[in-house]
Amino acid sequence: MTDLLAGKVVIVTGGSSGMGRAISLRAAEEGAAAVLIADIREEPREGGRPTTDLVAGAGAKYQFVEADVTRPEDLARAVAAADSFGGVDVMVNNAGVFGREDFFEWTESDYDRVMDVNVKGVFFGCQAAARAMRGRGGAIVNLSSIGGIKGGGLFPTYCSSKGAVRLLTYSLGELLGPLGIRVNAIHPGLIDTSMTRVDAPLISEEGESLSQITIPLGRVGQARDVADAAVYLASDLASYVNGTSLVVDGGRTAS
Amino acid sequence: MDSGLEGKVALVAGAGRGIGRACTLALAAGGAAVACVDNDQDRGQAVAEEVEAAGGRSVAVQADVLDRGTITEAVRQTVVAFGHIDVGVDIVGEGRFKPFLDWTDRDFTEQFDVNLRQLFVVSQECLSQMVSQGTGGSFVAIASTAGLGAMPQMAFYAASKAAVISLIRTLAVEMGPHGIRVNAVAPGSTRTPRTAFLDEVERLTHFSARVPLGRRADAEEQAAAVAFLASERASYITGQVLVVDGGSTVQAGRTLDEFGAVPSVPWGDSSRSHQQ
Repeated sequence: MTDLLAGKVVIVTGGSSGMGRAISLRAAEEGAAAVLIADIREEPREGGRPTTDLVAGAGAKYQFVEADVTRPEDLARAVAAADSFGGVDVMVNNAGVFGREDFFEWTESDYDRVMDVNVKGVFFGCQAAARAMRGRGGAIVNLSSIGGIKGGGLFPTYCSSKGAVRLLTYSLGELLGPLGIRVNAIHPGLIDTSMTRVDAPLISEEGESLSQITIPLGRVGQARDVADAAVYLASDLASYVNGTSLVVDGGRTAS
Repeated sequence: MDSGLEGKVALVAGAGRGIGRACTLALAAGGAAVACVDNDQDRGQAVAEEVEAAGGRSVAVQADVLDRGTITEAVRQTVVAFGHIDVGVDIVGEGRFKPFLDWTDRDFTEQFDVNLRQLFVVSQECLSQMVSQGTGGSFVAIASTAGLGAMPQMAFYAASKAAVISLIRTLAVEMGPHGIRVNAVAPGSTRTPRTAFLDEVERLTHFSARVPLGRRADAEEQAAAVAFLASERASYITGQVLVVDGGSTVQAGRTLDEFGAVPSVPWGDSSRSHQQ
């Protein structure tokens, strides 16, 4: 159960920061041949060296591809960039936006922004990857959320978008499974990243949250917890796992 | 990279063959010592020897999952052999085929005994031990996609597996504060010695063509999911059911009637070999 992604070419959207950064590094640690980071910015939100540096340090080839996931052509360009490393084997659609929403004041452009990144970005990321994987198989991992299973009154657009990712995943699992392309979703719970510290202040400077009391394991999650799940789903350990959801939330939704 | 199982001690109930044997081998390959618990002495011993021949550590313990005393003893022997228990895995279970109107009271009782009451016994004994150790742990049960929806002709197999799914959620909440994770794997159609009779059905009807991945699972593919959930790679995952079914259950409007072509064949046998 080591070197789980040996020789694979991995693309991670939103790979510069947070969960995407952890996934990119973990993929490299698990023997990926190359990790391509597709993001609108190269500098990590949390500071530190670029994710490509971390990937290189773990022994994988790397490339940063400037890409806005709301533009299908950018996603196609990221997938095309993987060709020079041998072609994409694993596509991780991780880029997403999050923030507190005031439902009664929410505007059309507020709505569109969330849906464009979180749903359209995942949809066309899947399409670009699947087109490349059609003849050779592969794995697609989509980042949903526990908000894509249960609702949240403070985040109705976000939850809607993550629910869409979930059903897109199930649908593509059925469609692409026969082509040897497995498609699965991860549903992180409360994970300690810039999203949950800055975009919506759910986690304190000390790394804690008031809602910890509702989490059976008594702690917020780390980006690395999600990265381990992504690696599992992308690997051959999950060769019969398709069209399903893996919830990484410390037991919160089981309660 | 650490597999997340290095140095752990696992107890596998139902280790003698099929998915249980595959789990044992997967855990051992990850570096865990494994106590092979089975009611068939010879089978359990054979798997333990397989582990040792591959360079791992294992003991075989005979026990009957419906006789609590033997399970208490199995836990004790595991602790004697390896010092403690980190991982509990329960693969025991059995399915019975009958149109609902033909099910007897005895069928009902036996299905719930072998699929749920035994899980109560095994999980309670393992989790009590882990709680007393105070160093956390992980428990993985075997549910089934049958527990997610209808299962024509297998009414109480399905119902008992739905109960398994409920149980692991409650256990996750109660055990979470002890640092113990509890999860289940829900296999779809899987090739094992017990389901070997379906090979002929598959040949004739190609029912697996309905699975998006176009085939049944190997026992190893279920074992990989169990080993993942048991390991530190899943250290923030608890109370979850990991469905390993090739995409079968997501198809809108589909019913789980894979076995519809097999008329009233009793699946599993009355001698309670308890393997899946």
